[in-house]
Amino acid sequence: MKNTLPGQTNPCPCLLGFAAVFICAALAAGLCSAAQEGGGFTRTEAVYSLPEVTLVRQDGASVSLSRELDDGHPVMVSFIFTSCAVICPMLSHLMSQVQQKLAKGGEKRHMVSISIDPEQDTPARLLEYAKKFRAGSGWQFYTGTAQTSIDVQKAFNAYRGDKDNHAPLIFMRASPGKPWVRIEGFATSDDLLHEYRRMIGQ
Amino acid sequence: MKTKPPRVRRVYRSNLIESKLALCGWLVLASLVLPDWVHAATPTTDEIERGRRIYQEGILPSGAPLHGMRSGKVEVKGPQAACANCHRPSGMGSVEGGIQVPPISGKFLYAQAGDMALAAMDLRGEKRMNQAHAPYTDDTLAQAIRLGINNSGRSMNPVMPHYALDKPEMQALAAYLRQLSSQWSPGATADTLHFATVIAPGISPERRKTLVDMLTLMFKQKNANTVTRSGGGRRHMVSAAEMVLGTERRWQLHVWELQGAPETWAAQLHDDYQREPVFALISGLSETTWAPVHEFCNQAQVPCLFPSVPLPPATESFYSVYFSRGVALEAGVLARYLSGQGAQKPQRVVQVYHDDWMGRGAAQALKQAVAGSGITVEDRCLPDVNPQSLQQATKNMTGAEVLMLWLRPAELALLEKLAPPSASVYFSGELTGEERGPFPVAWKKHAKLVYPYDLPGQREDNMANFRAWLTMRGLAVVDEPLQAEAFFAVNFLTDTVAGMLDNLYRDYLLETTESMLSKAEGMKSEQQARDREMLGKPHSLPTQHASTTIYPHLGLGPGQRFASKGAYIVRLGEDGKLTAESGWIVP
Ligand code: HEC
Repeated sequence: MKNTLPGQTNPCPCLLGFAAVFICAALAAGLCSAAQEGGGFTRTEAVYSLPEVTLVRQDGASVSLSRELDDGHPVMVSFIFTSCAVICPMLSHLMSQVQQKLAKGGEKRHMVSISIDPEQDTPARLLEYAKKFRAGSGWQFYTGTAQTSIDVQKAFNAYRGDKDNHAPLIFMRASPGKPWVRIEGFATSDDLLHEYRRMIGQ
Repeated sequence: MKTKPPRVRRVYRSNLIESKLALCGWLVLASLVLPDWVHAATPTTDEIERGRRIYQEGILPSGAPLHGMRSGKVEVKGPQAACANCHRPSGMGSVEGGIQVPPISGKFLYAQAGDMALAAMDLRGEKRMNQAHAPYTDDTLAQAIRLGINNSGRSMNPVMPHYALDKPEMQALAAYLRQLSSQWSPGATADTLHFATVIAPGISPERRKTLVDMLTLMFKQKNANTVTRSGGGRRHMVSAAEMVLGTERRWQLHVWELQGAPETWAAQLHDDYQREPVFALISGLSETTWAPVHEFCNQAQVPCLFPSVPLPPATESFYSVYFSRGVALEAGVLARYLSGQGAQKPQRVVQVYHDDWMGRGAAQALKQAVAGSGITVEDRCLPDVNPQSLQQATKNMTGAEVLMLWLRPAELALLEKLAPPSASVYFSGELTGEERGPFPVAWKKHAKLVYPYDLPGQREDNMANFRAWLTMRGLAVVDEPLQAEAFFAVNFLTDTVAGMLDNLYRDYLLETTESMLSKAEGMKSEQQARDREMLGKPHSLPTQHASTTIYPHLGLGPGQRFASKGAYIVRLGEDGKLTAESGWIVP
C-alpha cells in the first residue's frame, strides 16, 4: 500500500482540503515510497580485482588482504559493522550456521568479515563480535583505515556511500583466480551451503 | 545498547491532536478526532512495564529471554531479539540498506486514515515516507508478531523475526506500544521548540560571549527562516516534507549558567529544568568536568548534543553525544603513536599536569593507554603551575625520552623563560587551543601536538562556508574550534529536527542524530572519493557536502556516542606551520 496521506473519514473538513494539497505536493516532491522488499536472494558471478591493501585482524596483526584471502582454499566474505542492528546480525548468524554445518562434516572453513565502520570497529570490538557469533579459528574479522575499507568495498562493488546504506551481501570464491559468487539478499544457511557446494563442484 | 533508565509514560491525549484542531480553526468535538487507540482500556503501569521489558530489553515477564526465529531457522534471543534493536527505542523504526523497519508506536500502528502519522524513512538521497496501513487490531498485531504477516496480509521481510508470544505477553507489548512516543516530549509545543545551552563556571567572559553570540545569532537566523503553523516568518530553506506538513517550529534558546562546585550543579540543572523543561541541550561549554550535566541528561532523559568539553565522562549514556573523547582520545592516540615506533620507541614518558580535575583525567588516560606497551610513565603533578614548578617538572630528561605537557593557554605562556629540554615535547592540540595557542618561540621549534582536527589544507576547504558566514555577520574568528563546533551543532540540529517532521520525541532525536551523522559523513566521503578520482582538479566539484567541522570525519551508529575517533601527530615548527608526523591514528 502506498503512503496515501490523509483522506476518508476525517471529521475536520478543512483538513480534507489540506489533504488534497498534501498528496499532490508529496507526490510531486517524490516523497512517496516504493514497496518494501521481500525475501529471497540473487546469485551472480563476477571477477573482481582486489586492491593491495593492509588490514588489521581482530588479534591486532597487520595483514595483507590478498594473502588473507588466498590460502588456496574456498573462502566466504561478508561486510559488517559491530553496531549494526538490522542486516549484519542476520548475515553473521548465517555465517555462524554455515561454519557449524561445515564443521560437522569436518570440512575446512575459511571465512572473512570486513568492517565497513573501521574507525569504530577496533580489533577489540571485532574480537567481542566474533565471540558473540561463536566464530572459530577459520573465521577472521578485519578493520583498517576508513579509506582501505572503502577501497575493498568498492572492489567488491559493495560500496553504497555510508554504512547504513549497505546491502545484505555474501561473496564466495572456490580458489584464487576463480570468479566470485555474489549472493545478494536473504538466503538461508542451507541456500548458502548449497551454493558453496555447487561452487566447489561437489 | 547504552544504559537507559526504565521509564513508564502515561497515556493521554496527544498535543498533536490539539494542534490539528488549532490548525483547522474549527470547533470540532475533541472526542471525534481522538483516534481509537487512545480510548483503549487503560492498562496498568505494571503491564506497560512488562511490555517495556519485552520491547526494549528482550526479557519476558517470566524473566526468561525473548526468543525470535528469523529466516526460517535462525534463532535470536534476549537483548539481540529485542524489538528496539530494529524499531529503535522510540518505536520510530529505522532504515538500513534497502530495508525499512517501520515505525510501530501506537500512533503509527493504530493510525486511522487522516491521522497524518508520517515519518521520513530515508533521509539520504531518495526521500521516502513510512507506508500507511489500515489500523492494526489486537489480532492483526499478534499475527504480525507471531507469524510475520502484516495487516495487509503480506508475508513480511524475513529480517523481522517471528515471536511465539502468549496472550498476556502480547497484551503487555500492545499496551507498551500504545503509549510509546504518543505525545511530544516536553519542550516541544505546536509552534515552538525550547533548547538550552549549559555553561560551566570558570569560563572566561570572552569565551562565554563567543559561544553565546554564535548560538544566539544562529537561532535568530533559523527563526527568520521559519514559518510556523501560526504564521509569521519567511519561507526559505525548509525541506519539501516540512513544507508540505507544516511541521516547522520557532526555536527558543535558554542559556543555563552553572555556578559553584560541580557537586551543586545537579540541583541547579534540575531547577533550571523545572523552570523551563527544554527539549534538548545543544552545544555548551566547560573547561573542567561535564559529568554532572551528563548525569542530569541521563536522569531527566534530555538529549545533550555536541557540547564543547575537554573530557567527557568515559561511561557512555544514551542521551549524550560528543564530538570526541577529548583529551582521553589524545592520550590514546599518543600511546598508539609512541608504542608503534619500533626501535625509536621511548622507554619513558614524563607527563606534566595541573593537579585539577582535567589534568588528573588526562594523565590517568595516558597511563592506561600506555599500559602494556613497555613504556613507563612518570607523573609530575603540579599543585601550582608557575615558572618554578614547570622548570622542576621538565628537568632531567634525555633526548630519547618523551615529555607530554597537558597545559592550557595561560600555562603555556609560563614556559617563556624556560629552555626546552632535549626530550621530544608533546602538547595537547585541544587544550592549547591548537597551533594558535601562545607557544613561546623556543618551544615551538621542538613541539609536537596531538591534533584531533583536520590538517590545514583540507581544513581550510571545510571551513570556507563557516568563515564566510562569520564574515557576513561581522564576527571574527577568535576561537575557531569552539565557534566551528557551535556552528556545526546548530546546523546539524536544524537538519535533524527537520527530518523528524512532527515526531518530536527525544529518543527519536538521538536516533535521528545517529543515522543523519553517518549519512552526512557518507555523502562527504563519496564526495571526497570523487574529488580524488579527479585528481589535479580537486576543487572543480561543488563542495556543499563537505564537512563544516574542524574534524576530518564525524560518524555515529546505533549506540555510538563519540563522533570523531582519531587524531594526527603534527610538528608545530618555528614558523607555526603544521607538518603531519603521522597519518590519522585511531587508537
Ligand atoms: C531484526 C530486526 C527486527 C526486530 C528485532 C523486530 N522487527 Fe518488527 N519489523 C522489522 C522489519 C524489517 C519490518 C518490516 C517488514 C516488512 O514490511 O516486510 C518489521 C515489521 C513489523 C511490524 C509491522 C508494521 C507495519 O507497519 O505493518 C510490526 C507490528 C512489528 N515489526 C513488530 C515488532 C515487534 C513487536 C518486535 C519485537 C517483539 C519486532 N517487530 C522486532 C524488523 C524487526
